[in-house]
Amino acid sequence: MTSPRAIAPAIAAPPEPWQVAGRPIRRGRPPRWLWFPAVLALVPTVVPFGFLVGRVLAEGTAAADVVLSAGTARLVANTALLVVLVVATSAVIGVGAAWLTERTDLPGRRFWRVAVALPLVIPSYVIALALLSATGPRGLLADATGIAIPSLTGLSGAWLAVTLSTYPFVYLTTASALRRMDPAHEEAARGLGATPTRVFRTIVLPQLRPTLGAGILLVALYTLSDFGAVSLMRFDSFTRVVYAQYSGRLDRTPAAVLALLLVALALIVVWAERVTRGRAAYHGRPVARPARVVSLRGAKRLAGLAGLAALGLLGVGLPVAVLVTWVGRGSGSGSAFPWGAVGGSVGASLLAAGLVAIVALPTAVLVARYPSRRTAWIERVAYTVFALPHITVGLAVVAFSSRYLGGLYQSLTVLVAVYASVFFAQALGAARSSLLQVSPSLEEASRSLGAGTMRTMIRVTAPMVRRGLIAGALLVFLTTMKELPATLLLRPTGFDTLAVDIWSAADSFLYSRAAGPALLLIAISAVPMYLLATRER
Amino acid sequence: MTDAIICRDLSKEYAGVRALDSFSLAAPEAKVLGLVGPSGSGKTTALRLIAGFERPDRGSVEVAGDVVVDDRTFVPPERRRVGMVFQDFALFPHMSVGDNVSYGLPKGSARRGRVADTLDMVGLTGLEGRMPHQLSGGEQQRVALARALAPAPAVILLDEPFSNLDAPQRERVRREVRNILIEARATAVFVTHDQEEALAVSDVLAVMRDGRVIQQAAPHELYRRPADRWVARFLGEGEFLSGTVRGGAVDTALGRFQVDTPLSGPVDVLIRPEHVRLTEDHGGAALVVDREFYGHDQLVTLHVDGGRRLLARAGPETIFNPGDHARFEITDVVVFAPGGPE
Repeated sequence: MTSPRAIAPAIAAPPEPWQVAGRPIRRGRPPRWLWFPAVLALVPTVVPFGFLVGRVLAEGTAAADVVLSAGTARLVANTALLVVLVVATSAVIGVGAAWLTERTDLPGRRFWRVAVALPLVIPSYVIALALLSATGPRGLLADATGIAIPSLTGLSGAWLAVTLSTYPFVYLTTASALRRMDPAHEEAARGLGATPTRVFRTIVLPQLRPTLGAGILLVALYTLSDFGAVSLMRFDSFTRVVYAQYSGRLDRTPAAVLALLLVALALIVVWAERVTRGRAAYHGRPVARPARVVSLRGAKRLAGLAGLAALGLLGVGLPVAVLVTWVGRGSGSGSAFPWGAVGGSVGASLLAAGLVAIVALPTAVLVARYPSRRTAWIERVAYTVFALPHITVGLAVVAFSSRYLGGLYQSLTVLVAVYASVFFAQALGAARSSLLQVSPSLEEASRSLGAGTMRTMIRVTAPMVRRGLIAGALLVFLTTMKELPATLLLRPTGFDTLAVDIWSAADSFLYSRAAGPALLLIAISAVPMYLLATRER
Repeated sequence: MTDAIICRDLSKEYAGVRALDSFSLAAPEAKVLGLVGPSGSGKTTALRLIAGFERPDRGSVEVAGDVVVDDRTFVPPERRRVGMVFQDFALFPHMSVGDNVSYGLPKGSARRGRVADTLDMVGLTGLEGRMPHQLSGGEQQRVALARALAPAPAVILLDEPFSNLDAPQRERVRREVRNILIEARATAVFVTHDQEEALAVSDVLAVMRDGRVIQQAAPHELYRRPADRWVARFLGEGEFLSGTVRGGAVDTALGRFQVDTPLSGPVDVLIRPEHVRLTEDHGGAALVVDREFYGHDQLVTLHVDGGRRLLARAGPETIFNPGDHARFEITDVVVFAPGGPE
């Protein structure tokens, strides 16, 4: 098995997605039709979002009342607390694990690299359901050992569940940065008499800062928008309350106002990351020479191994063990396996992945081959849409489609269009970066030999960027499979996905009913993950 | 003689930087025209405007008598009948040599024959099935040429075609390419920053500076009669001194020389190293201060006439070392109007 580091860039998207470098304008104007797929991909979220903003602004004082209420203040405090806790824990765990697997001589590092990244395939709500059903006086752990563990719910549960599902973002980006780092700096510091600890603090950590910033940004945005774990843990952060307001009340203004406040929080996080990024630039060139590893002996070696083992056990071992236990217990209970949800998940994810791959190619050509202020906006909007909390997107699309789209309200068409739209940036990023490695003269050669833009794209560009397109489509498939809040709000009546099925069962404490679908979801998600990790070699 | 490409007053800016400034050029049919200039002089931009990869801000281009771009017209590259050979060759890596060469040909039964004929012409008979990465640099170059020639374009453009080849094979490939172009009776424009290459390959040479053509003529004409000091310096080494033309000869600090020029009065005089003949002589007036040995010849830097610098090219037989004295004789000079850019 190969290391998952190769997928890190793809998952983390470009490290600075909100900033598009100012490249010189070298090309002519793109053909008009090239804009069409990009617009088509972004309209399903941008237009409803704009509509939601307009509607909330039109509410005026009613909206202001919601914003200024004591409940909202508590909500902001809760959510901010969760973000701070998760970010801090993820950063420590992620950097620590990366250092242990990349810069020490711990045995089995290749295995640990995979094991500590693996929680990426387990959705946060599955980790939450595992933690919930394992702890507590009547939990599985108490059953197995006879020792009662206090049940994990509320803040502590949400903290642990979200941390376990987000620290791999920090781990993967940091591990790849550690590998790209020129060992000469560290050697120079050692040569000047610095201890290994001082080298780490004064040389390695500052160089990690930009990467760490990007990883932390992802963790913070993910925490803000996570719905599955916080709702199962009954922790009142924004997403849970927005959903409760939406499903429990006829007046949808409070839900809409809170959903937009959540977006405002996300913008603050993005802004904070940019402000604190610092000005130093570190140019990581591919380094042929691996850095010298630190030799850990005795107690340190045991502590390092124990730390990695604990991560692997908590993030992967525990959820899988819990699910398997429930499946074993529930085998005779008679509830039918939700095959319809399997079909719904796989079908919708395949549709979304295929659709995104088709629109990402022309859009990548547009942004990579005709760089201009206008095409840079396409990228900026795509990444902004990618960062929007899905509960907000779902709410906006419900409001917009119920008002204007009539027959398409709660249709599969709208659901797939929204999936493709919110995950568009992942495929665009992958296609764009592989296109940038292809010399534009190949396309120009095709043009001068008599092929038009379309034929050139199909016969020359597409085969060249095939790997990037497939990687992007796999990512979209993976993320669509796990998607929960937008699906909950937008799915057609009678349409089910594994995510919705697992969450609904777990929300009603029907753990044995949720376990089978959850195991299947993990298994299906592991396929694209495995392909992504191995094909990059 | 008709012109296959006519560029009139082309201008192009990139983000405020003027790449082309009233660029005009006429490329005669069935000749190889070299477009030479230092980097940043706009050579590649000119080529890309002719090919249609970019639009000019102003000006027009005619290819084989048809306007392909002006204020109102823009013919896209695929309909210009302009073949292009790229600096990096740009062979499609996922297609065989045969598929690369047939890419620009219309579908039909004649296709296969045309591919074979074109590969014959470039000396790659029977390599249709190879993939580009299985070929040497020189072979890739010839496939790129065959691919551009196969659809029988009206003109063929070559962008720094030899810069991606190693020095030893560069001269051989460049001779081959020139012969292929002559055999195909193709009108070719090739861009280079290497003046030696430009002089060797072109039938006609256009020298560019600051986005426009400064001078266009046959290579030997250009070398003999550069338009100004800058062109003279760009095309070859030499030392300048001032002089006065009077009665079919020019008077300089180093003597009086016969010249054939319409100029009279004060002029700039260029002395090329190959026009300085050196002989071993311990009592000679020239002091050797530096020497670069090239094998086939040597370039000797001299101090003459109390510190004046002079370059001389000498054969490889007699070695001139710094500190030696030698006798020198100036056999020819180039004169042009004084002043102008350095």
